[in-house]
Amino acid sequence: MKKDQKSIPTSKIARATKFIQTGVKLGGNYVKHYAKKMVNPELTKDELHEDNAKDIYDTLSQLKGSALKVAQMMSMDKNVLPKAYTDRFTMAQYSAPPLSYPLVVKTFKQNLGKTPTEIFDTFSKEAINAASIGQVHQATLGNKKLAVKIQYPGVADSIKSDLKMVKPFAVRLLNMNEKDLEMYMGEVEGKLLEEADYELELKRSVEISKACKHFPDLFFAEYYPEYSSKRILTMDWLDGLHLPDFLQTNPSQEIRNKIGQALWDFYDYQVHTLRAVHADPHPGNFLLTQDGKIGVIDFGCIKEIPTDYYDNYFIIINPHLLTDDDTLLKRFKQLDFILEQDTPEQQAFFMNIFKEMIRLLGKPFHTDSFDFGNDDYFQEIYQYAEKLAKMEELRKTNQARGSRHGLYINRTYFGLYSILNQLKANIKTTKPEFLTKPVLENI
Amino acid sequence: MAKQNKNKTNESTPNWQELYIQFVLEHNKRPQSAYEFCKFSSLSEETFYETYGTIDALESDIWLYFFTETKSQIQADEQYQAYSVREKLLAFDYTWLENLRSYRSFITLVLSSHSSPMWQKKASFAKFKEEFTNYAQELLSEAQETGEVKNRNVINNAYPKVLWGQTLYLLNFWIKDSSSNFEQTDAAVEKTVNLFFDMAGHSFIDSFVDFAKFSFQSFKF
Repeated sequence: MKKDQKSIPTSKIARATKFIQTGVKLGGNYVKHYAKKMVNPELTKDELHEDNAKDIYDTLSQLKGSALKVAQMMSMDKNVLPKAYTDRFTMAQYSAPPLSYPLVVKTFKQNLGKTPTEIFDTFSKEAINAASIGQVHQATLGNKKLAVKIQYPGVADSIKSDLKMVKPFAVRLLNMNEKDLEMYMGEVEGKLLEEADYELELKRSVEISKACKHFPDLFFAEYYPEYSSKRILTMDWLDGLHLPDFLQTNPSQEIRNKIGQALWDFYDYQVHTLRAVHADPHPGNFLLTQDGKIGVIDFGCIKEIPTDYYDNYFIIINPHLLTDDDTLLKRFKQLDFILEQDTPEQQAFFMNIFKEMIRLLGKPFHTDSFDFGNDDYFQEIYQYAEKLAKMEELRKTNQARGSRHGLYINRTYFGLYSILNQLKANIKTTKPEFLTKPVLENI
Repeated sequence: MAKQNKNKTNESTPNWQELYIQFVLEHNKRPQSAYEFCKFSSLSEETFYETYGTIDALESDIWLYFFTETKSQIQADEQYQAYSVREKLLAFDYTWLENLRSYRSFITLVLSSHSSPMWQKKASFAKFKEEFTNYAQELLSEAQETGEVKNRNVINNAYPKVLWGQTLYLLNFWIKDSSSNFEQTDAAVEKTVNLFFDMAGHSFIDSFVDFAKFSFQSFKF
């Protein structure tokens, strides 16, 4: 683990150099483009865009951290990157260099007034694994096995500087105007800063695990506020396997369905009842057991869904709306998918795109049960995304479409679908009634 | 010295360090002369010269005090002996900076009133530098035994100087650090210590030198 982490450029200077390298490469791509153009005047800028996207991706994937997170989310939202890229983006995770043990001791003294060995019976000197923005140590106290998460110093500052650096590239890559980008960036920055606040995470973890106690197949860690602070979070050590390891054990279809179902119901309940959702469903945040139970960890990223956004957004999944263009158009306008200043052609164009997108992404909601193991379905999504990425018209508009709240909601569903796909789960897609019954009310 | 009471009685030797810190904090500057300082302390210059020849010598003792205090603190910790040398140095840096924290105002004032940008070379660091270098030498010998630092003959002599430079760099960094809880300084400690040990340990440089030597000796280049 240590070796991997060493290869990530971490200091600000190192990160900046990475960006400079990309800058140089992009410059090179332009030179290449114009050289080719002299020979072949027919050449369009498409190839250039491809080259650029590739280089930018390569840079971002080496950076990890918040810079990558932004690129990852934006690309998912605007479908600008081809399948191969989004594939790799979804796998991307945060990674920070390991903290030395003396710094861990110092952090403990500063935050809790005692050293780890004074508090716990045993405490692992080496980190067991890297959490999103820090690392996890194992400790024992009495007969309890605990996980202690410690944050890397200066995380909040590095989030801000990372985002500042990624901005010029995001403008280029996403072809979005700066004001719109600012809006999305603000949303992302807010969420990342929340993730860096362990006191908030503790509060939310306790709240959500309490609210979801009634799900028999879910289990949560107990949290220990007396051993936690802004930079330290202490919770029970959960036993279980991460998704890739779990799949290696060849679980039966029945168990996979059971887990998939529990996961779907968990998200259904959060979105539609709690209106606050664990918005980071990447495989590292779930621990699976052989008897088909899921342990949920890391409540750092919670998206609260505002009521007016909720009312407009989820109704569009309703299949009845797909045949009712007038109502759909009104909803699209409320969600900023279609803007007032759009020409009739643009309106028709985007109407089509979004309708197709909903038909496709809403599919699991349109039937009572759905087989997420169906790779054809996912292939169809990727192909559609790729088709969108190639569309001239889409590339040329630099208006942001969709509310900023959509960023994290889409990301949540994207993550959920992809986990269910890997599980090959066939499940009942539980959902509130209003998503399927005919829409009568006229808005 | 941590106690804040002034010691004005002549029965025992006055706590000069304590008084000196008091003076700097209240006047926002270093005393221009021993006379000015002694007047503030209501003590005669005579008694001052019994202990110190110059103000710098007194200041030098304060820096030394920070160092010896830190050293005995970390060495009293049971875990310290089990640490790797890298961790020992980290523990030293963290504890030292933590100790300086309660004197931050004093330190900022003292260092900013040295007009020369090369305040690092000032006489007031003399004793601290000497003791630190000894300590660094101890650590480095241990590191050579554990293999954390590679024996590079002549270059070995430069290592204590590099570590002294690192210490001054951290001090400078900490003074300018405006982050909450001086978190940026923590990061600087991690990064500089890692950098040092990654360079001083076995690295590509050794292989390179080895290759260059080989190439030169066999006249095949």
